[in-house]
Amino acid sequence: MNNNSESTFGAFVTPHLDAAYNLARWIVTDPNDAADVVQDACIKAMNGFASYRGGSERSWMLTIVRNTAYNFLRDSKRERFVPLDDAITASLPSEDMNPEVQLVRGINIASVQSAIESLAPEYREIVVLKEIEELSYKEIAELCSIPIGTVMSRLSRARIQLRDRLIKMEDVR
Amino acid sequence: MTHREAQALIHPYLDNELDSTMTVALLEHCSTCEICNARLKEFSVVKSNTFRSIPTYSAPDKLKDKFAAKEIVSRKKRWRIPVIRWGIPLATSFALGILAMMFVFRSNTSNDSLTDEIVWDNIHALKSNHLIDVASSDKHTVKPWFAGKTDFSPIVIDLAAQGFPLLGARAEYLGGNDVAALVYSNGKHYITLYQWVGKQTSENITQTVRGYHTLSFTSGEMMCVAVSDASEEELKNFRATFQKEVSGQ
Repeated sequence: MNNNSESTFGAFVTPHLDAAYNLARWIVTDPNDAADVVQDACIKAMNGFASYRGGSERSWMLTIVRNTAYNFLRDSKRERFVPLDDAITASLPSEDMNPEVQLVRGINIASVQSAIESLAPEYREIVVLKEIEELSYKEIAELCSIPIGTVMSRLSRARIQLRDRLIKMEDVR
Repeated sequence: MTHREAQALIHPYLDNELDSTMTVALLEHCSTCEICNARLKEFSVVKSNTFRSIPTYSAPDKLKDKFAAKEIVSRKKRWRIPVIRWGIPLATSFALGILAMMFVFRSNTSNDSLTDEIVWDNIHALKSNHLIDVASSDKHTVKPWFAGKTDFSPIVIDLAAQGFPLLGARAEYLGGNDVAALVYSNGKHYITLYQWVGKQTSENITQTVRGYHTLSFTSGEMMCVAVSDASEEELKNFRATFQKEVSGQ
């Protein structure tokens, strides 16, 4: 790799570092681990930079960050990482037949943060890609290499769990 | 529209993923259905609060400076990072450090760094007990598993009848290439067959690197290197068996 391609890579990666770090931070949760994951992902990206064939730069970078973060989780065994069974998650969430609305009030950043952190990594990442990166279902599906139906079912499951956890936190308070 | 159908549409509606026809159908249903209307309100609150309150983390300045200054970490360092972070006991990391140093010395003199990298990857996989990500001898399980993980679809064949049962596979990224690693067993030995599309390291060459034998060959458009601690003869036998099966398909 010559100096020219390194400088090109620096210019390429800098605008996406925050998004890369944010995604890594949400998947692995520890700030130091997240920085390591991003650094590792940047090196992988740099080595593969020559083979980058266009398309969304950010998505390309986030895909590498995501894979690196999952490799980290799996290898560190800090979080028991069990891939979700998509045969189960692809099915629709069970019907909720209660007509009562339990509106969540008084939500603050800390409670949203801890509710999202308590989700499985596969749910966390979908919420982050949707609500922070504001990606479409199709873009999320491509980034995570899962069908759009799985994106939909994971997102709805994530929101059901978020609702339940936020309500629980309110009850405790 | 049933409750089930309506509730499946609530999240796509909140995320602006529904076309106008479906949107009208959903809202019409909710206007007459107390249950679905309650869910719609509830998840609308969850969605908007998540969207508003989800914390966003910025990359630490240290990380930004590193890349802004184009001070890119050399690839040798890459091997040390995981060792430190993964908290492998000190003795192991010390031993690995020595191995890494030997690797650096060796790669300075070697003219085939990709083979070195492959052998190192194999050692790394064995040490971290992370040989396969998808455990299956079924090519209809293993081959599709690579979709989206590598920029090609590798040749996957089980050679159990010939004495080399396929145990599974993993995806790697080596020397700037997506690489498929298929793991076969051979008695008490493992044979890992690396495949990629691109430049071949060297044609039909056997090498011994760190006590592991490697054998490079080409199969169709796939560049292959087989790595094992089994004997060179066994590797040649494996290649012949593999090639025979491929051409017989």
